[in-house]
Amino acid sequence: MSFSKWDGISSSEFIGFDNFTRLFQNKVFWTSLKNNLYWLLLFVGIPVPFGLLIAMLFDMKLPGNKIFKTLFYLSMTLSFVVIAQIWSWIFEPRRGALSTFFQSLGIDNLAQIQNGLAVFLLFIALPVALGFFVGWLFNRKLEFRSSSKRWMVRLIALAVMLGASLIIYKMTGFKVQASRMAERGFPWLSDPDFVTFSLIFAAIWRQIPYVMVLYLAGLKNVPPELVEASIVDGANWGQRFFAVILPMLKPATIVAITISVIDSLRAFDIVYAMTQGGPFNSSSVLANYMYIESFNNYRMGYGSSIAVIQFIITLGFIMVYLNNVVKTEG
Amino acid sequence: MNNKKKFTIFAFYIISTLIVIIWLIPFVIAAFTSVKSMDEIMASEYWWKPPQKVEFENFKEAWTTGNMRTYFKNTFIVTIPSVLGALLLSTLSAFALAYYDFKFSKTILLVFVSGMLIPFQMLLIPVYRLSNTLNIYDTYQGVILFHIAFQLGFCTFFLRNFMKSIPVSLYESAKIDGAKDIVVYAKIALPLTIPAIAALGILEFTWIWNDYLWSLILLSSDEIKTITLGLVNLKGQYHASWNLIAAASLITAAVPLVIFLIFQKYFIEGLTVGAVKG
Repeated sequence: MSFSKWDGISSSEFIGFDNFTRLFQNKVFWTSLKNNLYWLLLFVGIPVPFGLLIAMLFDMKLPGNKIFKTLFYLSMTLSFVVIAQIWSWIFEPRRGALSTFFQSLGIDNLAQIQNGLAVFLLFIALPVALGFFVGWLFNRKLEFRSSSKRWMVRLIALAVMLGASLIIYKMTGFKVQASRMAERGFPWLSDPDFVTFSLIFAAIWRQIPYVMVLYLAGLKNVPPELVEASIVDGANWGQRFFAVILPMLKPATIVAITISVIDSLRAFDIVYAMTQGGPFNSSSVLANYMYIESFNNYRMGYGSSIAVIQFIITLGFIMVYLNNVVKTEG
Repeated sequence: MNNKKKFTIFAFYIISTLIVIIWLIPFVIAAFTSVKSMDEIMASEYWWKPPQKVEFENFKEAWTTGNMRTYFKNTFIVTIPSVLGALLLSTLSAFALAYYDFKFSKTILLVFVSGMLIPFQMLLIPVYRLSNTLNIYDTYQGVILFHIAFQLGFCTFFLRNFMKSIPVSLYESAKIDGAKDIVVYAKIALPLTIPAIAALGILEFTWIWNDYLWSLILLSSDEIKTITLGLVNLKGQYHASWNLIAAASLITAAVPLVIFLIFQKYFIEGLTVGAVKG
């Protein structure tokens, strides 16, 4: 059907690859694809590590952790449509919770936040992540041995990185290009550059508890003897986590990542209910674009071609998941 | 108890409380808003402040004028048969796939699994077309049928895994005693799978209740719309009445929330065993 022209009522007409050529020339398609990429990166990159961390926290067998878990899970039971309503209230530009929260911190427009985020990512998070990565590379070769000197080295390295980033920041006078709207207030959902991030943020609120459930189940399979043995061997907290627990959680991580990827590609409800892809299609994702083209603009053939593209993108991840199922189910 | 351990426990409670509070803020804001009057909302500078006067007018209005009553009823009409139908059919197919080893049984299982992973965009237009040709567009039966069809893959996969864990000797001894296949299914497989069926049923109920997309595609008249559609409708009509929309959102969320709180154990169990969709 993606090769035909059909409005949903009259008979369809075969037009070959026309739909696809028109699609690739359309700017909205590329915006949607780009937004889908953001969804993919952030929807996996944020909930998976945070879900793991919170799962580790709530896995501590202390009285009351059941109550914490129950309360934390609540957001998971909500429909995306409800989440969209609740969050559009929080994202209200003038008197919504998020705007007033930032105002109370002395930040009075979105551009400052964008700026701060970019500075944080480029000059602090990135060097720290790099540092950890390099440290991890070296750490692998060392035996379990806790020494206070290593901590000192780490602290100094961290301080140097932070200091260097801040000096770079001061010297370059780094600033992000923000829209004119963002310099005046908090257009969380009406600034074309920011709206997708607001949507992803609301969706993550629901996704983190979900990933956490998966990790909690995975943690149940980590034998406590193994962790204790590593303590006896003198492993510190970090070594215990990276060398003992994380490898045991590999199956849970694979499931969490594949599910998050598939969910991020299916993102539709929240985008459609909150912004319908607007303003000016800037928050559109493929699913949403496809729906609007097919059912609001009655271009079913064209919509099908979007669906085909999306299917091709998802196929790889579905294969990974199926492979996993085949392996475990045997 | 040494100092380090005390510190860990202390840190646990502080961090956990903080996380939970941050996580619940959106709920609290929605609850506050839903009991405020429009005057209070307009007058206050901060919309997240606790209400000065609690009133349930908004719930009443959303329920009656906002038509939430109808939507609420419709959602039950759609959800309950869908869950029951999907459970009934999937216990049968799962039993077949778990117990009998026939040609292509593995292929069929894979078809079921890939069916639940496929991006729904692929299916939107075919479903819409099919429902038109079958004359079930804009009817309860149509939505129910498609819900059952789409949930069947997941349910079968889920139940098959559970039924596989029942020892085969149980089935076989019954067969030797002369029980027919359908009796084995009804008297042995079903009773032993009840915990899994319960977990699955609860999960399915929440998913179908929360569904937006299929109702959006398959329903068009207002009298039979489900609650998620109704909520979006309401937002279109009362664009600036935040309190009304907050009340309606809470009404929509109430059923899954209550179900979750009562059957939390099953819900989480289902999610971890299923571990497929959200």
